[in-house]
Formats: sequence, C-alpha cells, structure tokens
Amino acid sequence: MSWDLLLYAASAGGVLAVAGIALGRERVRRAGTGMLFGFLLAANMVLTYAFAVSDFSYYYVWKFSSSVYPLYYKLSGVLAGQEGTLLFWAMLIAGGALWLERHSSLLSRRAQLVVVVLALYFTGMVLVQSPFEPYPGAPPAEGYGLNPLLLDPWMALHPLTTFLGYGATAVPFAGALVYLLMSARGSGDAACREWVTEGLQWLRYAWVFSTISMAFGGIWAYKTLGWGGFWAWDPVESAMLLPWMVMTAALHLSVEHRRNMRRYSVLAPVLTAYSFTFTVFATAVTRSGIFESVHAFIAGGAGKYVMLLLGVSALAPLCLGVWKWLRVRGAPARSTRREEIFYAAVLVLMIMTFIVFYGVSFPPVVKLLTAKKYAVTKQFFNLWLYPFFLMLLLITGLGLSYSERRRREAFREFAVFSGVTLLAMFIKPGENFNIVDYTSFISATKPLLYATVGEISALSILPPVAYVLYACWIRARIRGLRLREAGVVLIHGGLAVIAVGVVFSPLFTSEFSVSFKRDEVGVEKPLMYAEFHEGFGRLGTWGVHTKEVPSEYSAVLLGVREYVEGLRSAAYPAVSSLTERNLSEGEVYTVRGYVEQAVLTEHAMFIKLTDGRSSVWVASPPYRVAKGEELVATGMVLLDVPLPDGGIGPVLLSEAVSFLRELAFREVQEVRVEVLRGERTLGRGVMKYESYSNGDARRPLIDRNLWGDVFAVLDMRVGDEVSMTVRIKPFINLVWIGVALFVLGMGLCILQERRTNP
Amino acid sequence: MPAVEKVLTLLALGAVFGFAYYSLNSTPVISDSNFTYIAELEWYKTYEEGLREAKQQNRTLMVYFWTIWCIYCEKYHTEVFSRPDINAILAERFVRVAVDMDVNKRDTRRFGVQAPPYIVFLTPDERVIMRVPGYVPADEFRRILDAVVEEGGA
Repeated sequence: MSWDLLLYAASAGGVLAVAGIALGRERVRRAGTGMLFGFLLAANMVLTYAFAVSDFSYYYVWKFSSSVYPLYYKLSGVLAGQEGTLLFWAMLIAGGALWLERHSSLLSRRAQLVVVVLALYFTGMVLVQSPFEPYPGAPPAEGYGLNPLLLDPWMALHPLTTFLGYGATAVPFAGALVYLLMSARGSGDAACREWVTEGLQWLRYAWVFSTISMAFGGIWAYKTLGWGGFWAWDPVESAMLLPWMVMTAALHLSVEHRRNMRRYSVLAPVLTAYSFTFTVFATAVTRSGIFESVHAFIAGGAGKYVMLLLGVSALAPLCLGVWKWLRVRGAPARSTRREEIFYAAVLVLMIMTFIVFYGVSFPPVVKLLTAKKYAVTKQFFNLWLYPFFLMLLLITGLGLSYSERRRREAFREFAVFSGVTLLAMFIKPGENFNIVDYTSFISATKPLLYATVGEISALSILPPVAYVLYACWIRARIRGLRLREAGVVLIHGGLAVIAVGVVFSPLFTSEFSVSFKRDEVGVEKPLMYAEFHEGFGRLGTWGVHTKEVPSEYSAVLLGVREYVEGLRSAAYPAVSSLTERNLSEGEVYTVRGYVEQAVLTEHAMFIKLTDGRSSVWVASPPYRVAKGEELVATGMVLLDVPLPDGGIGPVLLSEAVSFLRELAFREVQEVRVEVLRGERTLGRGVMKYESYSNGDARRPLIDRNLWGDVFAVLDMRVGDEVSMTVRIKPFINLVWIGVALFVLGMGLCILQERRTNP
Repeated sequence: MPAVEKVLTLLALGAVFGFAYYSLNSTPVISDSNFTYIAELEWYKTYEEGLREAKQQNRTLMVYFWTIWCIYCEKYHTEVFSRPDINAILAERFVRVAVDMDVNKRDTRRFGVQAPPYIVFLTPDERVIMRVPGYVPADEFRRILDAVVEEGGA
C-alpha cells in the first residue's frame, strides 16, 4: 500500500472542511479540519518511522539516510529534502487551521478557510513529489546518505526550527488578508482588534523560530569549511533573512497598530501577510534552484507550484492593501514625535529589506534576460547595508530613549551620538580598519560609492552600539523592567551586541597556516588493522612536534590518528532473517553472515553463510574467502537447487559479494594540536578530515573562549603531511550571545502577552 | 498621512530607487555569454568548449569548479590566481575552464564534485593528472602547478 493514501485522505478532510465553512456546518467543518491535520500528522509519523528504521524501500529515505547514522541524524533526514519539508510544512499549516477552531468570530472562520486552502495546496505539492515514492527496483541494503557536510548536530536541528518558524506565518497571513478585506468594508471591529493580538502572538513565535534557525545555520556554516564564517550572504542565507526582516517590521507596526487602530491599518496587515510570502520566497530560492539556474525550475517537481504560490501570496496582500487604502483613508492627519521616530526606524529597516531582496533577485533576472552574471558577493550587501545599519541603530537609540518628557534631552543625545559616529568613520588606528575590504571585488571596477563606503572605519559601529545600550538603560529606568519592557530591552540590547560581533570579528581575525610532515614528526605506530568502536578499522598514530610560525604564534602537533571505521554489521540483515521468511523465487535479498564453508564447482563458488542460528548457500563468482570471515551478499533467490552438500534447497545467486572489511563507513584523519601565542596557550583540541563514500567533510577544531575562538581546519589531505589553517577569531561569541538575548527577550514578550490575553 | 511621515516615505522611496539604479550599473559583471572573467583571465564556461580548445592547442586543461557565494573561491581569485607568477603560468600554459556549479550542473556531475572550490587538471586526451579539492594557499598551489606542468608536458 502506498502511504500516499494518507495524503488523499487528508485532502478529502480539507475539502470537507472547506465545504463545512462555506455551508456553515460546524460538525462537518470540525471533522474536516480534524481529518486534514490528523492524516497529515500520520503521514509525517510514517515517514519519520521509515527514517528511524532505515526503510530504504522509499526513494526519499534511501537518498537522505544511512543505516549507520545514529538515530539523531536518521531523523534529521526527514527534513533533508523538498518532499519531507513540504509534508511537514503542510502539517503545521493544518495545525494552524485546527487551532482556529478555538475562535468563533467571522474573521477567524474566514481566516480558517484561507488556512485550509493553503494546507490543501501544500498537500497537493507533496503529492506531486511524494516522499513515499518507492525505490525503483529492489530496495538496497544501504542508503546513499546525507551530504557529509550536513552531518552536524546544528544542521540536524536547523530545518526543524526553520519550518516551525515558516509554519507559524500561515495563520497570521490568512488573518491579515481577511482583516484587510473586512476592515476595508468597515465590519467586525471587535473581532479585528482581537485578531491583531492573535496575529502578533503567532508572528512572535515565527520570529523566535526563525531567529533560532538562522543562528543554528550560522553556527553550522561557521564550523563547515567553504562557507567562511557564520554568514556569507549567499542567496539561500539572504533569502532566509528576508522573512525575518519583514516579520521584524510587521511586529513593530502591529504593536503600534494595536495601540492606535487608525495607524498603519494597511501597512501592518500587509507586512504581516508578507511574512508568509517571504517564507515561500525563501523556499523558492533554497529548493527550486531558479535563483542560480533556470533549468531546475523548468525541470518540474513542485518548483513551479512554489512559484505559483509565491505569485498569488505576493499579489493578494498587495491588491487588498491598495483596495483598503483607496477606500479607508483612515490614518490620522497628525502624528506625534514618538510615532515619527518609530516610523523612520521601520522605514530604514524596510530599505534594508529591499536591498537584500534586490541583491538576491536581480542577478537571476538579469541573467535570464542578458546572460550576464553579476558579482553580487558579500561585499555588495555589506557595502550597501552598512550605512543604513548605522542609521537604524542610531534611530533605534533615539526611539528607545525618547519620551515626551525628555524630548529635548533625547534629541540632544541623538545629535551627539550621530556626530561622534560621523567622526569615528574617519578614525583608523590601523590598516585593517576598513569596514569592507572592497578591494577584493572580483572585477577591477571600483565605483566611487563603493570606495567611499568601503573606506569607512569600523570604529564607526561603536558609538551607535553604545547609544543603543545607553538607550536601553534609559528606557529601563523610565518604564521599569516588567516582562514586556525587559523583553524589549533584551532584544534591542541583543542587536547592539550582535552588531559589535559581526563587524569586529571578521576584521580582527588573524590567520596562519602550518604543516607537519610525517618524516619530521616520526611515526609512533604504523597503520594496522584493529578493532575500533562498533566496527573495525586501521589505526595509526604520529608523534608530537612543535612548529613555530613566522609570527607571534606557534602550533604544537600533539598527535595524529588515522583510522577507518567500518559499517556496523547490524546495518545488514543476518542470515536467519532470510531463512525465517517464506522465500519466493526471483526475489532479491541481502544477507550478512560468517563463512562456514566454501566450495568451488565448475559453475560457481558456493559459500555457506551462517549467523549461528541458521545458514544459507550463496552462489557467486570465485573469491578468496577465509572461514569465519564476515561478508554481505545481495542476490536473487533460486529455490530447490542441488547444493554442494548433497541436499536441495534455496540458493542466493549473487553477482558479487562484499567483504565487510571493505565496506568502510568513513576514513578519518584526526589531528590534535595546541595553538600558542608566545608562551601562552590560546586553545587546543581535535580537528578531523573525514572521507565518506559520498564525499568528504572537514570538522574543524573550535576552542571557545569568552574573548573569542581558536578555529583550525585541515587543508587538503595528502598522505604524508597534515597542513592546517588556524584562525584566531575574537568577538565571535558576541554574535551567539546576542542571538540568545533575542530569543530570551522575545520569550518574555510572548509570556507577557499570554498573561494579559490568555 | 501626516506630513512628516509623508516626507520620510518619499525619502525612503528615493533611497530605494537610487540604490536599485546605481547598484545595477555599478556591480561588476563576472561572466557573459562567452567567458567567465576571473583574475583578469578569460575562462571557458563549459568543459566541452575547453576540451576542444585544449585539443587544438595541445595544452593542459584546468577545470575549476566555483560558485559566486564560496568564500574560498574568492580567496583563490584574489590571493592565488592573481599572484603574478601563478597568473602568468595559468595564462600561458593552461586552457582554463571555470565551471559555475550553480549553473553548469552537467560538468559538476561529470566530475562528481561535491563542494567548491575544486580543481581538476587533465591532459588534452582527457586523462586526469590531478584533483585538488578545497582551497590550497598560493605557495602550495604553485608547487602543484609546477608538478602538473611537468606531468602533463604542457
């Protein structure tokens, strides 16, 4: 049976729910929504179970899993591809529809209709590219596996948090659309007010999960060589930042809108809706590949449906927004200073959002039209965003410290901090203080504006940061530190802390390379076969060696270990699992067992495999096998064959058998070093170079300290030499501390909302 | 809309349009329909084109796999390929192909490349001389180039 049935059943539930809402039948609606969510939940559970037990009869499981992974990585495979993520996302949206059962207002009903339709659409996309697609042909014994670079605890959690965040934007999206529609007609004021609060709370959850997911992705990128740090402005990263930025703007405007319903009555719901639109955009960039390649788009799958959804979800809020704006020109004619400052900050944030959006989307569009490819690299984003970032921090400072009573004082402080910021732009204590190394632009063209912004001193970040922190303190003094206030202070303080980390960490990173040759180090133990972990492996070690580097640093090689880890034998079914089945002729099976007897006949080599409980004969081409050796055979079953021991019985006809010792899971080179500056130890630890059957991965050494990290990674793998690049990265942990403050602060805001509006 | 907010909105719109226009005209072009431009050298965009040229000139092929977002590729461009001695060797001894892994999936698959940067050196009759996965600092890269030149007889 194909588990796609669950998806069809969920769709039927969705249709039922739509009918129930349209006809006003409560029972039908409830049953339909329940079915929709229930069956999608069941589908997710089936898929998760298939990953947990490594059921490679599904192509999707085979592609993203391996029986040798610990359970943690097996489960992370569920969200490793488009099929699984769409299924998970569909379930979350359906969960939103179910949640809306709590509310009985007309607005909630209509919003529920939109959410159910969305869930149906997502279920449809899953059906187009189902994760339950069977593996073509006989199911293999072993999966292809995740890209080794993805085998990382942070990466295992990254998609989960991402889609929890994305999923939480569906309900506010639907609510905002219906809200725009209803408020434009001037109906349902009380429900609308209640709705703003609900939408706000959902957005907060979405924001928290998106923040966490970007941080996890950042930590992973930081650890994984080739991505060069926690943030590289590649299209996928930038696209993920977009919904986060839109959510941030929407959150600010919604809070203000709730305070005064006549303010931002169009912009707040439109941006709330766009939080969802941009999650679809991010998905399109990440999964469809159109943003680097046109071909993946045309190739089919769910790509074009994602694009269709993107178009609709971009147009709907825009049209409704314009319509409402034309009908209800409700904004007050006068604004207070506080409101103007607030608006200015949101505008700057929106300009920054546009810059990111443009940087991600104009290169592919231009490339489609002219075949020209632009070098939109990290410098593009850094150069364009930095001036606006300074502005944003300064206005944030003003906004946080402003109150009608200290109006003059606040503006004076703003003027002083802005002045100092301007001055600081020109103060460069050293060579490497340029905010952006624009000289490394790939091409020789260096436009004037780039050269101007690129020359700004990094010190210019300090006054705005100091201002925001100071403003947080002022705000805490004025308004006290109740839950929500504490939350607001923590979040904005977190922003300041992150600002220092992101600007200073790359700037003050020092780097050196060092290599050790096997000859100069000396080999303590030669490579030899040895039992290792649950598998077995070759194991060799090198000696200890110190090397000065032509700078203040030196590195001590504390040891090198090289080993091959085998597959855990449990990855393959033992002989008795085959003999205990009702075998049918012509079926393909895989078994593992020890060689009990081997007979060479004129037709084939007959190997008798046993696992202690029962045995089976395997017919294969001639091999040199030893008694007691463990091997794995895959082949077709022939029943009632004359056997070498005189009997008649089943034989597994195998074209090739594999010796378990050859089925390496990975080869590992493990290097232990200590890094010193003069006499002082900066850090020590282990870095690894792992080779898998489907690619290589380098696991760096990261020794964290409060002031920064020692980061070292192995370069190319050459047999007789280990060479590594070592980086001393100060301030890096400020970024993670800032993210923690973000999450903590927003957590407090959510808590406070739950208390006041349970 | 209140007057101050109107002005702020107009200013923001001005900034957005100004940015969009200026950046479109000032962002460097890295490749067009003929070549990719890295380290002020012309690189063929597909293995096929490069191979044809390599056969014709009987020179060694250097197939370089890169992407726009890869930091170590940028390091290759600015610190390795641009170093005068290396740049000269690349210009004179090799037929260069730069495979953009985001676009040219066919050649990426053909060589089974997982992650950029990645370099494969081949003789004109398609024998692989050496594969260089990941980033290699300039000095070491020079040694590799010399070894490849010797081996390939380029």
